[in-house]
Order: sequence, then C-alpha cells, then structure tokens
Amino acid sequence: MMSIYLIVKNEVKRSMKDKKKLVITLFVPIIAVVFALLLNNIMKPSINLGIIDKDNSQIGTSLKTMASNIDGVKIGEAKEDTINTDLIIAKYVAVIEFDRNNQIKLYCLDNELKGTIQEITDNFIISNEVTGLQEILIKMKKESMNVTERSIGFILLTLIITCVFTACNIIKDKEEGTLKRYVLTPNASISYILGNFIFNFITTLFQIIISTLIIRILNLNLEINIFEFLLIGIIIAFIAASIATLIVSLVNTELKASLIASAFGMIMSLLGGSFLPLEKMPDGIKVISNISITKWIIVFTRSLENKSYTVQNYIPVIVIVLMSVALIITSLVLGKRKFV
Amino acid sequence: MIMDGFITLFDFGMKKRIKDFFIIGYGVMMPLFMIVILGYMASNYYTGKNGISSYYYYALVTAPLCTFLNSITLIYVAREESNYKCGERFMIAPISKISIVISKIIPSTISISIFNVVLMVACKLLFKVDFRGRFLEVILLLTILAFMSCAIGTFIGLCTKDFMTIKNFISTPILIMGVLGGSFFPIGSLGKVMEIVSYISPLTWINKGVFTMLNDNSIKIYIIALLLTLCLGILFTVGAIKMFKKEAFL
Repeated sequence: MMSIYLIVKNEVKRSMKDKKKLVITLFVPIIAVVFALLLNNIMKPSINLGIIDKDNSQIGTSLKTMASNIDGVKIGEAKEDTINTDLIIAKYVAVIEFDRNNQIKLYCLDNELKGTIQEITDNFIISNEVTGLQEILIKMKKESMNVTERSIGFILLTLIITCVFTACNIIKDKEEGTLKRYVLTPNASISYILGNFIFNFITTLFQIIISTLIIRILNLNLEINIFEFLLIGIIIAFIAASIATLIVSLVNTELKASLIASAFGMIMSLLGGSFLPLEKMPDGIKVISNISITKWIIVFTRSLENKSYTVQNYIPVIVIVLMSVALIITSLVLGKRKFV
Repeated sequence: MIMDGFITLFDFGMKKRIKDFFIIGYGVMMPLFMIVILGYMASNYYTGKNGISSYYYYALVTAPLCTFLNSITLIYVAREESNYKCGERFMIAPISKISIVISKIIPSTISISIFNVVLMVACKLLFKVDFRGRFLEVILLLTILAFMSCAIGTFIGLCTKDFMTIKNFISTPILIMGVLGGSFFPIGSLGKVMEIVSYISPLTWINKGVFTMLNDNSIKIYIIALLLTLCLGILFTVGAIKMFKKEAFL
C-alpha cells in the first residue's frame, strides 16, 4: 500500500514540474467536456427540409410558411446545383422542388422517409394542411439521443483519449530505463501500475468535478440533475482510466497508444449510437453494440432521466465497474512484461 | 547547388516509402477495413439509388481521412536520420536543405498516391463505387491532399521543438477534423453552427468538392478545395525548407 501511495505522490510531483504539460493535460479535457455539452446543447434534433421554389409558386410559399412554424422543422432554401451533395452530407433529409404548374419533385435518399414526405406533400395539396411532420419528429426523437445522452457519449470518447496521454508516463519510464531500476527495488510491479492507475483516476476525477462546476455555473440544460451527472462522470473516469492503463500495458510507444485509444473510443461511440442512431442499423450491429461501454453508460443515463432508481437499472453500472476491475487485473498481468 | 544530392536522396526515399508499413496501412488496409465496417453500419441510411450507397459514401470520405493521417507517418520519416543515428553524416555531406526536405515529401506523396489508386480501384471493384468518369480528378485531389499531408508532417517533424510531444497528440486533431469533415458520419444535419465550424477542416472542402463533382456535376468546390490544399501544401513545404536546420538530425 505504501509503495502505491509513493508512486501516486511521485506522479503528482512529476506532473507539477512541467507546468506547460500540466496545463494541457489537466485543462484540455475540461474544455473538451464543457465544449461537448455546449455543442450538443446547440444541436437540437430537427427535420431539415430543402425547398426549391424558383417561380415563387403559391403552394411552395404556403408550405414553407406552414412547415417552418412547426417546432423542430427547419426549412432551407436548397440550391439546384448541390441537391445530391446536400442529401448525401445530410444537410437536408429531403429536397422538395416546386414548379409553376404546382408540380412537385421530391429528392430523398431514404426510401421510407421519401414515401412519408410524398404523402405529406400530397395531403398538403389537397387539404392545405401540413400533417405528418410531427410524427416524423417524434419517431426521430425516439430513435436518436437527447442532449444529455449524446454529451455523455462524447465525454466518454474524450476522456478515453485524454486518459491515455496521462497513462503514457509508464511508456516513458520504460524508454528512460526507470522501470529497469524499479524492478531492482523490493517493490512489486503491480504497485507501480496500480499507482499510475490511481493517479490517472484522480486526475480524471478532478477534471470531472471542475467540468461539473462549470456546467452548474453556466446552468446548462441537462435532463439529469448535477449530482447524477457527477455520478456518471465518476463511472466514466473509472472506466476511462482502466482502459488507458490496459492500452499502455499492451503497447510500447506513445503513438501506438494514442492511435489505439482514438480508434477504440471511436468504435465504442459508433457501436453505442453516439453518431448514428442504433435503431436503423442492421440487426448484426445491434447485437454487437451490446459490447459497447458507451451504450451501457447511455442506458444508465436514460434510466436516471426517467427517474427510475430500481436495482435493475443499476446493472449497467455494476457491469462497467466489474469490467473496469477486469481490465485493471489484465493490465497488472500484461504490464509485468515492461519490468524487465 | 540548390538541389545537391536530391536524385540520390529521392531514389533512396522512394525505395523505402513504397514498402513503408505505415503508408501501406493508412493507404489500403485501414481504409478498406473502415469502409467495410462503417458501410455496413450505415447500410440502412442510403437506398443505393443512383449508385449512392453507404459504401459509396464511406469509400469517398475514408480515402481523404486516411491520406491525411499519413502526416503522422511523415513526422517519423522526417526524423529518420536522427533515429538511425546518421545525422552527423548529413551535417557534413554537401547536401542542400531543400534536397533533404523535398526528398522526404515527394517520394512519400508518390507512394501514398500509388496506394490511393489501388484503394480506389478496389472500391470500384468491391463496392461498385461509380466515379462517373471522374476517376482521375478524384485521384488528382487525393494526390494534392497527400502532398499537403506530407508537407505538414515534414514541417512538424523537422521544424518543431516539441516534436516528441506533438507526435503523440497529432492523431487527435486529425480525427476531430475527420468528424467535422463527415468522415465517420454525415454531419450536415447538425445545423448552421456546426456547418460553419466544419469549414476549419480541409476534409470538409475536399469531401464536399468530390461529392458535388460526382453527383451534381459541378467542379466549383472541387477546384477551390484543390487550390486551397495545394496552397497549404506549398506553404508548409516552404516553411519546412526555411525553418529546417540540419542540427535537428542530431
């Protein structure tokens, strides 16, 4: 225990020496976490429809006015020469083109959505009422994540990457021959790795606490209360620090560690549905997504949002904690190879 | 005089780069893996009508991302002499600074471009990516991007003091630029603010340029992307030549 404490103390002292690096490693993650929340607050799920109405047709103008009054529907003036690109990069989910004879041309890459929007425009011509867009919005909201869930996904991704930077000290020690000297002391290699893990966990925890305070001061809109956010933050800090410890135990260069961390974080986020909603993904991916830590964290966040505090809802947390412990044990076993 | 030793260094660099594991990895293996995985994940988001499938999308956005990631390889290539402990020989040899810098950038650009051609042909055959007769234009843009990436990598490797720190952090900004450029998922739906922010990433103009050229038959954005990428490449090359000191190899 004493040797673990000494390693942690040494790491703290070491980090204090290089002020420039300290500022980067300590505050960049905080900025990234707050930025992720701010950005996700700006990004509200909406239906972006592009309209091309060259002749200012009556039907086009009236659809524009009525649809833009619906909360969550955004109408943009699409350009004729970039219709396909705008659809491919998802600037618009569909582009509706009106001509002088009230003829409507619809462009959409999603067959199901195309059918629904076609129905909406057909109904509009008959009844002069926009019906059906709200249903698409409700379905979209159901399928995609809300601000808090998406932010939590981004925070996990960011902290996995930044934790690896801190954990890389062990790789540096290996390169500089410190580990060779350490192995000659009566202390076990386990203490060294555990000490590094604890230091990394404490650093990440500090970043989470500061981020939480900033979120509180800025009064950012979250679907969970600040203590619940802090709880999720602590869980993220624990799993991110253990993943980082495992990565640095596996590789021998800092570059490989940072690349693996980025790739791992990205895969977890993609499988967890942080970027694209899981609902529309193939069944095979839905099954594989169960291995994603991001997904479990989001499932837990959702249960906190729904104010359901049953034991069953805490299962994802138990799984994550057990997984973190398993990762640390694996790191301790694999990390021994560095001490030669 | 200015280009003393260039031919020899170029020849030597070419032989090494064409079998460089990192260049092959970023050039063919990693993009193919990403296209298969991401294309499958997003297969329900595209109908495949007019040849626009998820594989089509990811083939066109992954190639620029992986080409850009080659900047990391070039940071190492730039410091090769220092790693092989032959920096002193370079100090006393009658080789100009320009030759050293250019002989790092050009062979790497050529190698990356060769692998990009292989990748694009593989995408055409495996994922039925339709280049609509603009295959050469796509390759040209990727080649200019490869030049820019090599110039940035060489600049960081040769001219920065904190090279050791930067080399570890460099993958993160490139991946962020990848996200902003839509390399992992289309970000067009994220709103106006995000659209403006995304323009800081060269991958945004490049991807948009390729898509408008192939799907909307307009080369305006393509030309802008091409020129901006080329200018950045030249800027970093000139910067590397001006700031490089042979002592960096020691």
